[in-house]
Amino acid sequence: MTQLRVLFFGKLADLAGAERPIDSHGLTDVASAIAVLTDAMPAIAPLLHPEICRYVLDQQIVPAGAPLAGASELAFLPPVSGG
Amino acid sequence: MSVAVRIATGPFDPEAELAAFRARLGDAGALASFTGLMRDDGGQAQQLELQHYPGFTEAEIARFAQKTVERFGLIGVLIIHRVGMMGPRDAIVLVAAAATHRRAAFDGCDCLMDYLKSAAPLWKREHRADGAVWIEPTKQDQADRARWLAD
Repeated sequence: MTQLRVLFFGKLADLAGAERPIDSHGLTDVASAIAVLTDAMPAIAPLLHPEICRYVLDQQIVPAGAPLAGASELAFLPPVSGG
Repeated sequence: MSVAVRIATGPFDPEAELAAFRARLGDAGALASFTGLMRDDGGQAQQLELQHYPGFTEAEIARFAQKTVERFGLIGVLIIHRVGMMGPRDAIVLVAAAATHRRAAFDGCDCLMDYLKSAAPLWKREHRADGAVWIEPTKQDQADRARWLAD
């Protein structure tokens, strides 16, 4: 089993937990990981929409079509606010 | 002199940090700084929680700070942002920008703060007597940030 460490922040972490490993065997790109996650947790689907969520694969911002290609960490960043 | 970015997991002393930054500066003629403090909103706000993505948040802020140094011709930038739980009057953020002349220092500091408020990978939650709520940038925050994207 190939594991992908999935990280959630902000209100996403309230719904999904801060961290969740998924089996990435057979997954091709970020979008396929999103499909697995939203199947398991339908409540987070609206928050993973590309218009409001940024995807970060092994610390690089990527589009939904980015291949997982052996990556070990996928993070979902909901709308931000600091300062 | 260049860019220093730190995520503070506990309280920090903005005056001491600023003095240390000033001591390291070269031939700067201007040093502008901003300190963000937690308000208690007349006793309503009890605690403020800030989350970050370790590694990524520091790297993203440093990348933006480097671009800001180049854009305004700054001599140095210091950014310290607190994360975790904090209470009223705690310092949340310190931004300092040093330059040869004042306009670049003011603008650099202002631009960096607008980025931190509405674009840096940080998540802020207010814990109040009636529950906890995630904060999103206001229209004013967005408009403030847009000033720097227009040109």
